[in-house]
Amino acid sequence: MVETPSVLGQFFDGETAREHGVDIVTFEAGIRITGNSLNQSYEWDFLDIRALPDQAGGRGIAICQTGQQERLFVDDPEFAQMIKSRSKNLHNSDAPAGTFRRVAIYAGIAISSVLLILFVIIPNLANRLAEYIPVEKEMALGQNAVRQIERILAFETNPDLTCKGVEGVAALEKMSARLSAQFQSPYDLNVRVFDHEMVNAFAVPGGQVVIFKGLIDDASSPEEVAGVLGHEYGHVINRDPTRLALRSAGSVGILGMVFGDFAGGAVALVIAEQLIAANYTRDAESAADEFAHKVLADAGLPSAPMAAFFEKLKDEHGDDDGFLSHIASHPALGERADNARGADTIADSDFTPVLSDSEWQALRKICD
Amino acid sequence: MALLDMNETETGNSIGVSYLMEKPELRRLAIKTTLLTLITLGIYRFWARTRLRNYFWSCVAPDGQPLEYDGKGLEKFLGFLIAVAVLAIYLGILQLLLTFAGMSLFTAVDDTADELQQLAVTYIAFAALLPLIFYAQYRARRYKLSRTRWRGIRFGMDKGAWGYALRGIGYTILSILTLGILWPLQTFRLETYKTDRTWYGDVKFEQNGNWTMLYPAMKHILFGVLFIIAGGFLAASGEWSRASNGTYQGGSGTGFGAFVMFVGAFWIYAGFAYYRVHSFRKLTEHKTLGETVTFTSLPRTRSLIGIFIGGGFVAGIVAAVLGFAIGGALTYLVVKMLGMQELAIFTSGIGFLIYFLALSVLSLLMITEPMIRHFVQNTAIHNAAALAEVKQRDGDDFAEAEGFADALDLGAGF
Repeated sequence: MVETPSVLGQFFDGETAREHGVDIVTFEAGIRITGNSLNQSYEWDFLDIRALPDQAGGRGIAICQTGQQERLFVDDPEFAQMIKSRSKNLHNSDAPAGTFRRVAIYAGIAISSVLLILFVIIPNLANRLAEYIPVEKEMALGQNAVRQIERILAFETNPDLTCKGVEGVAALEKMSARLSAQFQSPYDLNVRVFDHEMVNAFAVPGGQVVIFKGLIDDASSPEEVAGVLGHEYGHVINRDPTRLALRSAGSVGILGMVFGDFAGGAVALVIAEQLIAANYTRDAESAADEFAHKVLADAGLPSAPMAAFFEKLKDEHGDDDGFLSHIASHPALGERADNARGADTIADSDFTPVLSDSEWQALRKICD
Repeated sequence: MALLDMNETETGNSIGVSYLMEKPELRRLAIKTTLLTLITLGIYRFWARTRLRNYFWSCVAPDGQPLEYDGKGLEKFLGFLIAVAVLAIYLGILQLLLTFAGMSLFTAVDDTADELQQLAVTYIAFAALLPLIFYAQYRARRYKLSRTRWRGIRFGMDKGAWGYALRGIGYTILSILTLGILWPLQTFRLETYKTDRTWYGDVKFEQNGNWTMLYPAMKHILFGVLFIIAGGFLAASGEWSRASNGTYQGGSGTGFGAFVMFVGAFWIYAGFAYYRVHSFRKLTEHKTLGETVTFTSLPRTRSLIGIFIGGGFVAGIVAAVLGFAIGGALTYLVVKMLGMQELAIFTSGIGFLIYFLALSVLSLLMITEPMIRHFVQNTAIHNAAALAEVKQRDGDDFAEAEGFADALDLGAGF
C-alpha cells in the first residue's frame, strides 16, 4: 500500500460539536483520518467521498462520506486537487432510487389539483353564484369592465372609443330593437361600436354589448351584423359574461400562485382581457348561437348571412387564428356556419331587411 | 441539557464570526443560477435557492468554522408541488367568494370607487390568508434550521406552526386595536415562541428578558408621530388665522405645518427600521443557548438603511438601463430594420425580462449580501467553548419543506 505524506485537517465526528485536529494520509483506494482526540480512525473510500456543494473559501475542500454525519475540512489546495481528481462521485447528488417516480406522482397530484379547481370547481361554483348577483350590480360591473377594456385597447388612461355618428347610432338602435323585441331581458340592453380594427364583438355583465368597427367593415350586409348581435345577446341572457368574470377571478389567484405573482393586482386586468377574448365554453357558444338563430327567425330575418359571415372569417383567419378575438377564435367555425344555415327559416323568400341601404351606410360610417 | 459556564476557567472565551465571502464567486453563482432558472421557465428556482444558500451559509463561520446548509432542491420542488395542490383549492375558492361578495355587495359607480373596492377585496383576502402566512413562516423557519449544521451538528425546531399562527393572529389583532402600543408585546411573545422551540443539537435556545424592554426601540416612531401631530396643529392654526381675519391672507403656518408633517412621515418610516434593528439587538442580547452561551449582535440602523437605499438605487438604475438598452435595441432592430411590427411585443417583453433578472441578481449582490455582511461582522458569541459538549440531534424530515412559504411568496426567496 503506497501512502503519501500526511496533511492536517479539521474533523467533526457528527456526534458532538467538538473539533478534532486530524492527520490525513492518502492510500490507493481512499483516505485515512487519524487524530489523538478521536476514539477510532476513519477510512473513506474515494468512491464514497462527496464534496459539500458550492462552498466558500475556494482553495481548500469540505467533504463527507455519502449520507454520513462526519465532516472533514482541509485547507491544503494540493489535497483538494487530489480529492477532486480521484473521487469520481464527488458531486453525485445521491438521489434515492425512485426519485423520478416520486416527482412524477407529486407533479401529477399538483397538476390535477390545479386542473380540478380551474376546470371543475371554479366554473361550477361560478355558474351557481352568478345567479345570485343582483341585476343592478351586474350593470355597474359591466360599465366598469367596458372602461377597463377601453383602457387596455387604447393604451390611454381616459380613452373614449365609442363611436357617436348620430345616424349610425340610430341604425344600430333600430337593429337592436328589432332583435330585442323577440325576448324578455332583465337588463337594459345596450349596444355600441368601438373604433378599433379588430374583427370582434363581446358582451360584458349587465346587458352591454360592444361591436368593433373592424367587424362592421368585414360584414357585407346588416343581417350579418344582426347575427353577431343576436349571438352576443344570447350570452347576455345566459349571464355568460358574469360567470366568466367570476371564473377568471378565481383562476387568477391560482395562476398567480403558480407563477409567483401573488399580490393579485392583476385581477381586474385579467378579467377585462378574459371578457374580450371571451373564452366561453363550447356549450355556452352553441347556446348563444341557438339563441341567435331563434331570435333571427322570430324577427323574420334569415340566419344564412350569419353562416356566410362565419365562413368568411374562416377563410380570412383560419379556424383557430384570432388573437384576442372572440368571434373568430372559436375552433368550429365551419360547424357553426352549417348550424346557422340549417336554422335559416327564410331561404329565398322575401323579408324586411333589418336596415335600409342608407341606414346600413350610416352604420358603416358610425365612427367617421 | 445545560452547558457548563467556561468563562471562569478560560479567558477570552468570546468568539467572533468570520465572513468568507468572495464577491466574484457569488456573482458567478448568482448569474448562472438565474440563467438556469430562466431557461427552465422557473423550475430551477428551487435548486438555485439551494445553491445560493449553500454558498451563503458556508461564508458564515463562527470561530472560523463555516455553517453548512444541507437542504436539497428536490425536496423544495416536491414541497412546492404539495403546497400548490392544497393551496389551489383554498385560494381559488377564496378568491371566487371574495369577488362574488365584491360584486354583490358593492356597486362601484366610478373608477375611484372601483379601485377602492378592489383595494378592500385585497385587504380581506390578505386577512383570510393571515393564518396561513404565519403557519408558512414558522414551517419555513423550521425547515431552514433543520437543514443547517455547524461543526457537523444540526440545528432544529420543535413542531408548533398552528400554535404560532394562532398567537400571531391574536397579537396582530391586539396590536391593531391598541394602535401599535402593544406591538412590542407581539414582537417579544412571537420571538419567544420561536426561540424557545429552537435547538442546536441537544441544547435549547431560550429567550429571556421581558417585552417592555423593547419600548426604547420604538422611540423614533414616537418622534415621527409627535412631528405629525405638531405639524397638524401648526397647519390647523395657520388655516384658522387665515379664516379668522376674513381675507384669507397670510397664515404662513399652513405650509410650514404641512412640511413638519411630511418630515414626521419620513421619520416614522425610518423609525420602523430602527425598531426592527434595535428590537433585534435587545432580543439577541437576551437569548441563551444551553443556559450559558450568550450572543451579542449590534447591527446599525443607519448602515442598513444606507445599504438598502444606496444598493437599491444603483441596482434599480443599472437593471433598468440594461433592460431598456437591450429591449430597445432589439425592438429597433426587428421593427425598423426587418419591418416586423408584430414582434415588437416580444422584444419589449425580453427587455422587461432582462430588467427583472438583472434586478434580482443585482439586489442579491448589492442589498442582500452587504446586509448579511453587516450582521455577521457585528455579531459575537460568548462562552462558546462550552459548545464542544453539544450532541447531535435527529434529522427532521417533513414532506412539504418550505413549500407553503414559497407558494405564498413570503420571501422564501432567501
